[in-house]
Amino acid sequence: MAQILVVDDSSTVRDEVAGFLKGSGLEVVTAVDGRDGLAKLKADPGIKLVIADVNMPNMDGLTMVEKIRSELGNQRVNLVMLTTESSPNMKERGKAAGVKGWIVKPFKGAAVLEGFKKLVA
Amino acid sequence: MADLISEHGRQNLARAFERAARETLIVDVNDQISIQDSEMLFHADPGQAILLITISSFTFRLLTIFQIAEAPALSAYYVRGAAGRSLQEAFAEVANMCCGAINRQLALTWPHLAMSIPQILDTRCLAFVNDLRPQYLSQYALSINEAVKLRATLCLCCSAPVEFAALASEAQESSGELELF
Repeated sequence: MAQILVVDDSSTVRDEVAGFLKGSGLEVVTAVDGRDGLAKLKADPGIKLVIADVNMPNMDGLTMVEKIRSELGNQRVNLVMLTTESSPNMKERGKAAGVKGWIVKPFKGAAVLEGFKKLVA
Repeated sequence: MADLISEHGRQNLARAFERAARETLIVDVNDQISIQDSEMLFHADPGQAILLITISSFTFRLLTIFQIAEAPALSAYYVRGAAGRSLQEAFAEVANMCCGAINRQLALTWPHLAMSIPQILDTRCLAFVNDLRPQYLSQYALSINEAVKLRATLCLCCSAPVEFAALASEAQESSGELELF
């Protein structure tokens, strides 16, 4: 069972983030877009943290987190957005959907690792 | 059609691109990037792809187009030996970061912006950019460490007057940190 689900359409980001987290002793699974992310989350009830991009094909990250809360009824999983976006409007939409945290890319693993560990504890 | 963007707005848009390019197109902070205005408009080499990202508001669309040749130096710089990853795949995230940086600068005056995902197109599409009747068009030749070469085009299409008066400064941006709500 994985602890963290990383959702990003960029293989570069998926590999970078998942590689860093695995190297830090965390169990990670990845998904290529919001639709895939929802399926992976449904399939693995052990996931405690979802780290997701916003702009993705098929289903964007904010739509995915809204569906996690509404359609899946999953209120327990922690949601963090990892994105180039930083507009107040997007953050407000994320907050309304229950997003717990926001990271503006680029990903700097050392700066966020402790925060992630608390979110999966 | 009357100008829908002032000279000052054009300069600020160019400045936003140059700042974003300097921040995001280099892999190592010690790498040197040169950004030159280019006159080689829409020169299409066989075998090249273009990578397009659009930033849209209610009144304008800004197309940022990167021309990426399958050159060994370019692949070596951006792919860095990652097994199974193509140059297009690797550069798509770099372009995403660059346009994200432009987006954040523009968002200070334009709060309702949306940014597309990167789209890979055939280089022949460049010949049709003028059909969009852009209000602003500029092309740049970029060189990193004098070895890695690529080209970028900025194309702004407006449906109403736009002004890029104020841009977010680098000091206003914080990246990489977890902001908890």
